[in-house]
Amino acid sequence: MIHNVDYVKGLMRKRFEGTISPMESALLRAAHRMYDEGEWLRMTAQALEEMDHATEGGLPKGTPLDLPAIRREVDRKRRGAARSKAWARVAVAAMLLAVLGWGIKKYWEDHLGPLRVYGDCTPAVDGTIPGTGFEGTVAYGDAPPVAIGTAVWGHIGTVGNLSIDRDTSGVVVISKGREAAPSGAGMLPVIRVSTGKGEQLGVRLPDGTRVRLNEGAVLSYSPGGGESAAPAVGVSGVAFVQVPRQENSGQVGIGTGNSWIYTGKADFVVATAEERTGITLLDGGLRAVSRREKKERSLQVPGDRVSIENGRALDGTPTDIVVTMHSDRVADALQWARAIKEYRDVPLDDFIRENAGRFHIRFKDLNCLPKGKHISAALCYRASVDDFLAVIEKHGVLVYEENGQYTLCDPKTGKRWSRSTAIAHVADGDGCTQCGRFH
Amino acid sequence: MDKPKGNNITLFRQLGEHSETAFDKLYDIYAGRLLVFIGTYLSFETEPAEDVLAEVMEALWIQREQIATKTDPERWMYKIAKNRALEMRKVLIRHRYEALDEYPGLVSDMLTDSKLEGDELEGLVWEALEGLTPTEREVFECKWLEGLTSAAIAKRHGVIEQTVNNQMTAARKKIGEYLAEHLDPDDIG
Repeated sequence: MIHNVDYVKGLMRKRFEGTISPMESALLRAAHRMYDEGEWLRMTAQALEEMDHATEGGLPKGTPLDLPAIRREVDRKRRGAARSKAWARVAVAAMLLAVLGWGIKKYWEDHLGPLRVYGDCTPAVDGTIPGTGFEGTVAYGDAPPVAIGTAVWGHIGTVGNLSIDRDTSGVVVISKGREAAPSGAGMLPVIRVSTGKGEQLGVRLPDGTRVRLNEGAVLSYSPGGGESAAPAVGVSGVAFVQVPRQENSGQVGIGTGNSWIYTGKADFVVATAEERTGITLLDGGLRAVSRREKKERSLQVPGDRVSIENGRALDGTPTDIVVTMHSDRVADALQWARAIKEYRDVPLDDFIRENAGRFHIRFKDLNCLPKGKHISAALCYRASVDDFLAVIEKHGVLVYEENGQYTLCDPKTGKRWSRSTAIAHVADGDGCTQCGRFH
Repeated sequence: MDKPKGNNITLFRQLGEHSETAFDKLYDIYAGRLLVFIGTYLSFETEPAEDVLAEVMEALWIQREQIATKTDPERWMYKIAKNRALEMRKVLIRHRYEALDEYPGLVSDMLTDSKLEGDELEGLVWEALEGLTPTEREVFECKWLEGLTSAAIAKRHGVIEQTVNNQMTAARKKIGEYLAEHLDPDDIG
């Protein structure tokens, strides 16, 4: 009966042979419900095997199959599927590579690679602003100040026994005349060399000291009275000073608003205002001495820095705050002197604040400045307003002009990112519609 | 339950190593049996059965690496054959229904079942359940009424599968003996 495997297999054989009765068929179906499928298939396989062996010549195999053709077709389909999979993998890998490449390219452009330079520039050999680009003002004696520019060369003036000239390299040279100053001649002459917004000017003093003034800086020079007295040199603002080796181990003294700098040979950058002086040593050695309390610090290794600040002690008494430090990033100190200023991944608002004054433009507001926007670009010292605006727009921010004031907000919508009324330079195939150049 | 014969297992393993010779030999062994097996689902219609056989052989070649890892690859092959046969059966029924629309009242033998005998048998089975222990009856009813596997029944009741198999074997024996007593010997062979 159906609890017996051999009986069930017998029913199966009858079913296969087509000799099963209706009741046997019903029994077979009932048995099927009483066994797991695995058990049932096993019994089926055994039943068929027994049938195969019991039949003379085995069970008929029907129309012979073309097994090689089956294998070829299957393998062809598998290869196609594998190829599609491979291509899909290649496509995904290509996409990932493209994204990675874009990221690397962006990082390279922002941090390592050459930056696009805005403005026309021909730097000096050392990368600094060339002398031909120097601008400033020289004031001396009772003479009206002389504006130094592209048209001013050669002899500028004479004061006392000092001659003021502009040489072919563009540097203003202060030199001693052949005749010594008469004794008791009264007040010693003072020469003031100054720079305005966006100007830089190189000066060479009679003892060979070279001073490059950054914008908004002043160099004052007064010769010493007679042969023994030292000249008086004063600096305010930011300046790069190069003092050559002095004869007979002498020292040069340079005054700032709150300190003195003494050196026999040094290259250094000084940034000084009335109550604060910062000095970065680039070469040689120097001593910095605070004016009030005569606190002294020596800078001996390139990268050494000192800060001297007028302060007050806890009890309110004035005091000098002197701090020394060191940084290996010596080149940063002269970034301002470079003909091309690089901005790598710099916040856009920092870039705008630093340069807007230089180009004499005012931004009505910076509210529409996108948060977190950074720029990477290089700006030439001769860059124009157009170049400055082009840097901003190249990085996806439009600038609008309204009644002489600049804004980043669309005047119509008050929102950013609108192009409706922008005077923004639009670069097309023929160049900028505003300035004609390619941005 | 008997496991497949050793030499056939070897052939399946060789097939898993992409042996075309093993594939040919397996066909020689199983083609006839599979045809018969498939035929039971398709009322032994030759052409559809041969189509299914070809599909089964194709599936065997495609899945040769998988089948070779099975402990009972023969059973797995029959399972493929059954599934393919059932798919073909559905296709044929669909086609036959469409054909039959033109001949109302004509009933294909594929649609006919020995219903009377089935109903009689079912009645006897339910009577036989009275002789089962509660546990045997519970296990039997899970399988008979719900079609659960032994593993599923074991999981439901929190017992091991072998316990379920033992209960089911006992239930089958009691029911089989009851049926043997109550059915006409001429009908049951």
